[in-house]
Amino acid sequence: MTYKKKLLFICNQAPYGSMLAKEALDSILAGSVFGQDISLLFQNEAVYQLLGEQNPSSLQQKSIEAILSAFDLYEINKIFVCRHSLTSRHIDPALLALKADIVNAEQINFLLEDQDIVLNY
Amino acid sequence: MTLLHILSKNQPNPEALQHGINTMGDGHELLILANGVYTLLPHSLTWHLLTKATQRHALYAIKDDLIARGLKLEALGSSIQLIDYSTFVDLVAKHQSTYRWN
Repeated sequence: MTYKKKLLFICNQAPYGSMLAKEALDSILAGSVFGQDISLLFQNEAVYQLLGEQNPSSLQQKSIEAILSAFDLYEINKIFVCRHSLTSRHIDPALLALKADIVNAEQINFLLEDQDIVLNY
Repeated sequence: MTLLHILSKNQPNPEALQHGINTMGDGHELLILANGVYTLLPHSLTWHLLTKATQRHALYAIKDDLIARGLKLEALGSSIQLIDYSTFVDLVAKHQSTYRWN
C-alpha cells in the first residue's frame, strides 16, 4: 500500500510585496520531503517570480529565484507556467529563470483533473 | 494644492492604470513602489502608458524595488526617475497630501 499522492501546488502571488509567495514555496518544499508526487503551476501574478536576476538583499528578503533554483535538488521537476499569464504581462517565455513547461488553459484543465489534491496559493 | 499619487500594487490592466494617470492634476507626481514596479516591465502596455505620462507629470520609482524583482534598469528609459527611500520621504513632505491608487 502506498501513501504517495499526486499534489498540484498552484502559485498565484507576485514575490516580495507580501510573504504569500514565499510561504507557498516553503509548503512545496515540505511536501516534497514527504515523498509526494508534486507538480507546480505558476499563473497570474506568480509568473513574476520567474524573472531572472532578482536581488532583494536591500529588502532584507530571501531571493525567490534562489529558492526556485533549489527545486531541482528536491526533485521537483514537473513545473508548469500559464502561457496567457505570461503574454498578458509581456514576459518573454525564453527569459524565465526556471526550466518549465509553458501550458495553455486546456492543458491546465487536464493537469487539474490528473491530481489527488490541488492546493491553490 | 498638489498630490503625490502612489502605486504600490501591480496593475496589469492598462485601462485601470490609465484611469489613475487621468486623475493626476497639474503639478501632481506619481511614485511607484513595491509590487507596483511590475507596471514598469519594459515594453509592456503599462510601461508605455507610464512613459507617455512623463510628458505631463514627474514619475518616480524606488530603485531597490526594481532591482529586487529583476527588472532591468537600463531598459526602463530615462523618463522615469529612480530614487531611494529617503527621497521618497522628501516627496511626501513636498506635497500637501498623498493618494494611493489601490
